[in-house]
Amino acid sequence: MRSLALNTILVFSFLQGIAQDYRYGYDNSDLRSKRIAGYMSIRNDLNIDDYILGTELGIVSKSRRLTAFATFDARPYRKRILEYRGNNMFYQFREERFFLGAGAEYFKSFKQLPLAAFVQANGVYTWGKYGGTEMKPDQGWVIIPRLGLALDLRGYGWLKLGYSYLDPKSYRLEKHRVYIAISGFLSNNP
Amino acid sequence: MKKILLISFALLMATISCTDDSCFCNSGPFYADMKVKLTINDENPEVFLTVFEGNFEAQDTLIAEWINESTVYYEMEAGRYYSAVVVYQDGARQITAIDGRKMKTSEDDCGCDYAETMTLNLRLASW
Repeated sequence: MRSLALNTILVFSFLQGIAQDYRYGYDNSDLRSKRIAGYMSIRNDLNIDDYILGTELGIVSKSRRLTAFATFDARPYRKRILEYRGNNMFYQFREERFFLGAGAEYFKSFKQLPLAAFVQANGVYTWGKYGGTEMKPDQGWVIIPRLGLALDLRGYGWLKLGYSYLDPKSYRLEKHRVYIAISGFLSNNP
Repeated sequence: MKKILLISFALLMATISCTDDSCFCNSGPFYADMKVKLTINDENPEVFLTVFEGNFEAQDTLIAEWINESTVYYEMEAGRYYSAVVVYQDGARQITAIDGRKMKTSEDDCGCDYAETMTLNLRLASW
């Protein structure tokens, strides 16, 4: 966990360096020349207990302030889950977990900085399965709120770091998570 | 003479390079190791392992034995789903660990099927 934090700081410092000669903000002529653009993201929601890896495909508005997207996330390993069955008896399962959904995001950029604050709502349907048994973990709809800071990668995309509240409906798992995502435009971003 | 030597050499190389004919595929059934990981500790020096074909609810028992090692291997037939169950004592708690997977087949460079090894992990997590 310590190395992850260190790596995140190093990556941010490195990208800050890249953004040195970034032209901050958009004037009206910029806005006229811009168009709706598609993008793709790789994203992670993690805490000490759990790790969810996902991908996001979306479009961003002309003003670069609003996005709408579709998402697919999964746990890239089978997590051990302990379920209480009463009478001091427990089952330990190996759980696979998936999420499919859609959402929207709003950016508020800071003047003179290649940074923006973002807030996101992501509605997902989650389901899973346990290895070796017909018993199934909980499934259903979940809203995942996320917020944080996005670093503009010189018009090529964003790097986001923030907080997410993700309830995977797995038995008794911590829901507060760190959110890290990297996004790139699918075509030239004029 | 030189021409004959060159043609002979080319024919020889062509014969040698036709090694694809050496691929003889077995039609199966295919077998591979199934690794089962267990927790052996002071509270559980020996555990009773049961391996089933299909989910454990089907109770189609293949193996049922006491184990005192943390890793055991069984040779199993590919293309089938296996599950395993172990009951641990953890203080006042009784924990039933369950895991299951399908043993898959893959293709080698010759396009022949072979069975992939697989692991069922029944180790106790530190809760």
